[in-house]
Amino acid sequence: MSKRWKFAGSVPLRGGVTCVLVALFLLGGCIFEPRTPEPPTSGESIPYLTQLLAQNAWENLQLSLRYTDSYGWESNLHSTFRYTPDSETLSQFPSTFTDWGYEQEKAFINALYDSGVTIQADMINNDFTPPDDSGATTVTWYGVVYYVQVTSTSDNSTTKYRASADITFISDGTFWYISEWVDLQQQSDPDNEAQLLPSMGVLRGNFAS
Amino acid sequence: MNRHPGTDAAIHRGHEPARGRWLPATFVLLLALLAAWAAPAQDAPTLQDAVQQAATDTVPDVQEQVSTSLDLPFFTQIENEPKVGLSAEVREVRTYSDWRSTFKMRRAQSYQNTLNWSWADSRQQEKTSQKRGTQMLYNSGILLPIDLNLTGTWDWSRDETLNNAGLANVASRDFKLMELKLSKSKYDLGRLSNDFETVVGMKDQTAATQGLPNDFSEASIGGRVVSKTRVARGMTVAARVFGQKVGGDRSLGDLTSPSASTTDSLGVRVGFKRRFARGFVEVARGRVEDEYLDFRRNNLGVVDTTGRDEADKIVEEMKTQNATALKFENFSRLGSFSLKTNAAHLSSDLAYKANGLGRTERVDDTFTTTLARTAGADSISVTYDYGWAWDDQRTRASTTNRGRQYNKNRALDFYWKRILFEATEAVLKVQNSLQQSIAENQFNQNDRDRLRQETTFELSRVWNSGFRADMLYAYQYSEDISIRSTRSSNNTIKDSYEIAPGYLWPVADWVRLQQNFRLYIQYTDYVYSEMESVNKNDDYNKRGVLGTKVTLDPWERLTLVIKHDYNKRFNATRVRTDATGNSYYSTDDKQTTSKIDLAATFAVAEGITLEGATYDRLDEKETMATGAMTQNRAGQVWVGMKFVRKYFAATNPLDISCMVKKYSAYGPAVTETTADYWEADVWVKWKF
Repeated sequence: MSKRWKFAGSVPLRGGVTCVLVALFLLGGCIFEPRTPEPPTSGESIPYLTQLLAQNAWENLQLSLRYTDSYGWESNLHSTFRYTPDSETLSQFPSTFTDWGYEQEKAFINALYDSGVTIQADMINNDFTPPDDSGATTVTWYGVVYYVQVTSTSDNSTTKYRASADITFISDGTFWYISEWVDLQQQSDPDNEAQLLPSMGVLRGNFAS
Repeated sequence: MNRHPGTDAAIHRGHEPARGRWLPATFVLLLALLAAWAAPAQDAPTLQDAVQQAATDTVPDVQEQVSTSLDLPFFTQIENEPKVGLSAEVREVRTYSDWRSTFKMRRAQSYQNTLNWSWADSRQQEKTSQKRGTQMLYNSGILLPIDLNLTGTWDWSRDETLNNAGLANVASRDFKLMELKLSKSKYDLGRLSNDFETVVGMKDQTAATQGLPNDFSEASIGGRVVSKTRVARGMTVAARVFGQKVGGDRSLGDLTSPSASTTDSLGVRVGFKRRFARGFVEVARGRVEDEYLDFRRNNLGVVDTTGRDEADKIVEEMKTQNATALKFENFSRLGSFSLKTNAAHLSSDLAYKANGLGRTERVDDTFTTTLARTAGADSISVTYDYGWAWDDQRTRASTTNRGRQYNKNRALDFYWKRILFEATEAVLKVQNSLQQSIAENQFNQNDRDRLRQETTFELSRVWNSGFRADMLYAYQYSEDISIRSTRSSNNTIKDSYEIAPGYLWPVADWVRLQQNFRLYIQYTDYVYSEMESVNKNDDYNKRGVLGTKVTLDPWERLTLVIKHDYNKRFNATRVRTDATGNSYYSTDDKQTTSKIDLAATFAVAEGITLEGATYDRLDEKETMATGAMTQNRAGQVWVGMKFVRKYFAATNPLDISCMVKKYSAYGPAVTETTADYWEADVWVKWKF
C-alpha cells in the first residue's frame, strides 16, 4: 500500500494553480519592458568601484555627485538608510527630517540632478584616515569632512556646502552600503575660513520643501 | 523695513523669522484669552442652568455627573512624576530631567504641565547643547457646552560649537507658542451633523546664529467646519471648509517687515457602505498665500547671496500655492475573495514672486488594486501598482517652460502562502517592477529605466518537539539602464541567487542549537563591456556564511551564548567567452573570516543583572594577482550591570533603572574613540 501525503485544508489545489498560472503569465514581462538605450558614443564611463570596501561605497557617492548620476547614489545606500541633520539644518527645516530614509534620499538626489546642475565634490578631507573594515560587518567613520559645490546651469549661480559627519557602513551580502549619515556641524569655507558653510542637510531640506 | 548693522557671515537661511511689534498679535490673543477665562467666573449660575438643561436632555449620565460633582473637591486627582537621568554613549554624554504634573478637576477638566531640561556634551566634536522647555495643556471637560483646549509651549535651546578650523558659533533659540482651540462635534442642525472648530494662536521666537537674528512674532486665527448627512441608505455626503489667517512681523538679517499668510480649503466626500462594498470618493481644493522676507534664492531655490550688495541680499517674497486632489477608495468582499482599490489624482502649482525657482507645476496619479483570497490552507493575493507623475518649471529668468520630468512606475506582486502538510508552510512571492524617468525634449541626460524581477520561495516546518527547519530560495534579475549615450556605458544587468537553509533544535530544556547557512552569488554584466571605449568588465561576487549558535540555561539565573560565524567570499572578473557562449572568470581575491562570540547574563538578585560579552575575529585575504596575503585580528570585550527596581508600587511608585557598560576593543577598524569607552543609562522616576 502506498503512502499518500495528506494535504491540510479543504480547498482544491486546482483553483490555486490557476491563479498561479494567470499571475505568472501577467508577470511574463509584457508590461515590464525597459526602453532600448542609445549606445555609448562619448566613451566616458563613470569609474564606479565595486563595493568590496566601505571606502568604495563613499567614493561612489563622490562619483555620483561629479557625474550627476543618480544610480551611483541610490545603489550605494542600504535600504535601511537614515539621515540625521545638524542643529543649523534642523532650525531651518524643523519638520522635514522627522523620518528621512532611503525613499526620501532617493527622491532628493533625483530632484537635485534633474534640476540642471554641475557639481564638484570632495567627500573626504585630507587628514582623515578611513578605518580598515577587514572582516567587519559594520564600521563607522567619525567626523569625516565633506565639501560639495553646486552650480545651476541655467543662471551659473554657485552654492557651497561643507560639514563634518558620522557615516556608518554595513556589509550586506557581498557588498558594503551606507546605512547612516549624521551631520555634526558646519565647517569653514576653504576660500574664507571666517565663513561657515551649511551642511548638505540644507540642500536636502530645500529640495524636500 | 527697519535696518540694523549686519555682517556678511554665511546666511543660508530659509523662511526667516523677525523681531517685531507685539501689539497687533497680542491684541487678538488677549481677546481670545479673555473669552476663555470668563467662563470659570460664571461657574455657579452656569452650573444651575446646566442641571435644568440636563433634565430635559436624553443623556442621564450628564445629570448624574453634574449632581455628584457638586460634592467633589475642585481637584479630584493630583499626580506628579519627576524623572532625572544620565546617558552616555559613543557620541555624547547627556544629563536630563523632566517633571510632569497632572491635575484632574471636577467636571472632567484636566491640566497637564511638563517641564524638561537637558545638557549634552559631544564626545566627537567640540559641542555643548542645552535645552529647557515646558508644555502645558488644559481641557475643559464638560464644564462648557463646547470643548475648550488651551495649549502652551516654551522651548529654549543654546548650542555652542567649535569647528575644525577653530571657528566658534553660538546658536540660540527662545520659542513660545500659545493656542486656544474651541470645538464642538456632532452638533445636529436638522439632518446635518456638524463638527466645528476654531483655533486662535500666537507664536513668538527670538533666535540667533552666527550673530544674525532670526525672530518672528505672529498671531493666527482659523476655523474648520465639517458637515455630514445621509442622503440614501448606505450613502453619506460630507463637506468641509477650512480657513486660516496669520499675521505679524519677521526679521531677516538686518531687516524687519510684516508677514502674512492666508490658507483656505474646501472638500466634499461621498461615502458608501453596502453589503459587498464600502469606500468613498473625495474632491478637495486648497490655496495658500504667503508674504514674508527671504534671502535671495537662485533657480534651484537655494540661498544665493555670495558676492551681492547688502541691499540685494534680502527680498520681499510672495508665495502662492494651489492644489486639487481627487481620491477614490473601495473595498469589496465576496465570499473568500476581497478586492481593494485606491486611486488618486493630485495636481498643484507653486509660484514665487522673487525666488529664482519661479513657477512649478506637479501632477501625481496613482492607482493600486489588490485581489486576495483566503480559504482553507491557501492565502493568495495579486497587487498591481501604477504611478504616473510629472513636474515642470519656468524659472523667474526664463520665458519658456523647462520641460516636463516624467516618472512612471509599475509593479505587480504575487503572494501565495499554503499550509502544505501539518505544521509545514510554503510561501511563494513573485515581484515585478519597472521605474522610468523621462525628461521631455531631453532637457537633461538623466533618462533611465530600472527593472526588478524577484522570486522568493520559503519553506518552514515546526515539529511538536519545537524543532524548526527553514529553507529559502531567492532569485533576482535587475536591469539598470541609462537611455542617453552620455550615460549608457554604465548600464548593467545583474543576476543574483540566494539559498539559505537553517534549523533550530531545542536539544534539552536548557540547551538550544541553531545553525544557518547562506550562499549568495551575484553576476554583473555590463551591457556595453565589449566596446573598446567602455572600460568595464563583467564580474561575479560570491559569499557563503555558516552561523552556529548554542544557548545554554544551566541555571535559572544564568544564560550563556556561544556563537561561531564562518564566512568565505570570492570575487572574480570575466576574462573570455567561448563560441558557445560560456563565460570564464578569473578569481581576483578570496577572503575568509572566522568569528567567535561568547556572552553571559547572570541575574544576581531580583532586578540586578550582570552581563558580559567578548568576540575575537580572524580575517585572511588573498589577492590572486600579486599572491599577497593579509591577516587581521580584531576583538572586543564589554562588561556591564543592569539594575531595575520598583519601590512603593502600591502607593507612590519609585522606579530606578541603571545600566552601565565598559567597552574595550582592538583591531584595524577601531579608532581612538571606540577603543575604550563607557556607556551608561541611569534614571530615577517617582510618581506621587
